[in-house]
Amino acid sequence: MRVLDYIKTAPALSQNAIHHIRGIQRGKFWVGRVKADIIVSHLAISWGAMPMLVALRRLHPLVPMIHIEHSYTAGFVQENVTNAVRFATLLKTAYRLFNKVVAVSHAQGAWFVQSGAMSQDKLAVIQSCVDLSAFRAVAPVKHPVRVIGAIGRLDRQKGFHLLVQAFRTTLDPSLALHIYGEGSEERALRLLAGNDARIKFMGWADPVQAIANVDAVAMPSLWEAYGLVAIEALSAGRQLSVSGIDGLADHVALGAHVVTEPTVEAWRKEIETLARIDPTQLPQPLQSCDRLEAVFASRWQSLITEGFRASSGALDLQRCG
Amino acid sequence: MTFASIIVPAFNVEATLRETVKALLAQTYAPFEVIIVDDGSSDKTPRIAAEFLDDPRVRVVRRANRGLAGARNTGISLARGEVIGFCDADDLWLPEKLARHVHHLEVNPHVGVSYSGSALIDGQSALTGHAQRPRLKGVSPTHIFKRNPIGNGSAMVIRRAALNEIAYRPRSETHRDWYFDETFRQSEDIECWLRMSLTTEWVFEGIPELLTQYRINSGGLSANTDRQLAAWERMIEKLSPLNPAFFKVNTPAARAYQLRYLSRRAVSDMDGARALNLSRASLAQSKIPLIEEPVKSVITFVAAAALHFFGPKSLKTMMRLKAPARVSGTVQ
Repeated sequence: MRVLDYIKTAPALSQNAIHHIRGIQRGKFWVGRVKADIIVSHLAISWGAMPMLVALRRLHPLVPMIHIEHSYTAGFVQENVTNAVRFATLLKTAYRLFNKVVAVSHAQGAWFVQSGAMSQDKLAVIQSCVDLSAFRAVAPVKHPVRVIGAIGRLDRQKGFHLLVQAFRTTLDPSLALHIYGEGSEERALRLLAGNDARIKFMGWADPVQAIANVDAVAMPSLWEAYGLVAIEALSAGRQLSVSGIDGLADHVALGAHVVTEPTVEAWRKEIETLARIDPTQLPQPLQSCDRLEAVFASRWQSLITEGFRASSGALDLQRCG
Repeated sequence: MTFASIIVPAFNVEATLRETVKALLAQTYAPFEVIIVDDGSSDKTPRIAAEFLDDPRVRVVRRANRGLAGARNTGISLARGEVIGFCDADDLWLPEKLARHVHHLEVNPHVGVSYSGSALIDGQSALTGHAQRPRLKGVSPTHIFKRNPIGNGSAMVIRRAALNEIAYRPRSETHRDWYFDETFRQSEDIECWLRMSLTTEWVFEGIPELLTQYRINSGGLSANTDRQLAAWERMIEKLSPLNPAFFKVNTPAARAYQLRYLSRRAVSDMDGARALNLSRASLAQSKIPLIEEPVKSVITFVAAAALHFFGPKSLKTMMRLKAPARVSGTVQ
């Protein structure tokens, strides 16, 4: 997971703590005792993981435990959860085991509090981050948008089906939609794309390369805790259109355009708007991406130093397999 | 110990700058620096600022005029403090102000913006008997939008980390970051606070003392209410994409408060027709100020009407009647 790699290597975070990353097999009940001053969980919460989490808490009653919620959002619940009460109980019960829960976007954090999953004082918001320097170094686009990129796992979550359908209803032959990524939806997306030669499936590519090769990035996700592709695209000075759901709303301040309706028609209009944009004539974003890494590091520092006494080691748990 | 910077934007303030800087240098807290940003003054401001250069705590920079927001941004770019205070060059800080805010920020790591209430002073630095006593705790973006608890440009001390989170650099700018939006000549404060509260997790919190003395100059206040209102509306237009639902719900009430505030300024300037128009516009926008702050709202509307229909004399009689009730806060 890229955020974890970043936590391990970011200079500001690694100078004060040694990070050990331990992968945990899905369905495993027992982690054992770990030697760490702080335990940071990046696990996906589920009923199946509860015995392991309870054991972890019991074994380390005095060790501060922080959970980072990478998965669950209002949009996730809307799209995937059939028994909302049962799911709310799961989150509430699981979060109670932790001293702090980190939301990866302001929008996700606000939902945690509004939905009653936790109280304000248990919550910390730290927007996810990776090293963005390579994206900042990408050459800027100096012409109207021609190539729109869809970058990410080809999964229903990403909403690329909306984008492909919308793109097919546009008429401009000079436009192109390049889809970067692999996943279970690829076949369905190829069927939707049909014989429209403007739509290309590029397979997996290095994110910097992918963004360098497109003029704009579209993220029509149905749910998204934060959306790293968004800050990567904005750092590279690319136009960015997002669905405005969950954590994608956080990128508006950085210059993302929002498509409020999750419909083919709304995305068709957005593609047509993008194609007319002169990137040099746009208004300034409210905030810039220049300091995202510094803010990430300083938020982590203050979370660790304010809540808990000085620490020298952190254990990051990650689910694997 | 936390090092603090105090930024003093100064534009043609020869009459008051000396008193302001002296009050800052008399702070009980150390260590700190004072950065006077001379915003292209054409009066004796540069000479007066230079008088303080013997004090190692004082730095003076002179820039071409860019307005208050630009002067503050310049100050922030030069500031070495972990916390940064702001004091306009006609206002005064009480000696304990910096110490209180630094302590407040040190013990409350979630607080990004620490502010206090203000006592109002006149041109001769005499207390007018009025004060700004804003809400201190539980301040949400809605409170900031409707009632801006920070109140004036000399009330706040801000954590550098909080400012860093809202920094940006417009294409036209090659030298330094912007924190306050320099395209605004009015409403630059509320724009910045609202942007910070909508896009970061930093908490705005006040401390319960009147630690600032805020100077009210009579005359010429209401002349630019139209421009002021236009700037305020532009702020809404600018920030709305951040949270359209927030602005949809709160704008009518916030606009009613803003119009009421401008109406009070027109009353202070004895401009009856304008005051009444603004009061009517406020009532038409939303009845929320009337419900949330009935006394202040009714006084404003009655004063505006009295001034318009019966002239300034009637208002003076009213003020005499009102005085013993000691309703606080003439200005928003």
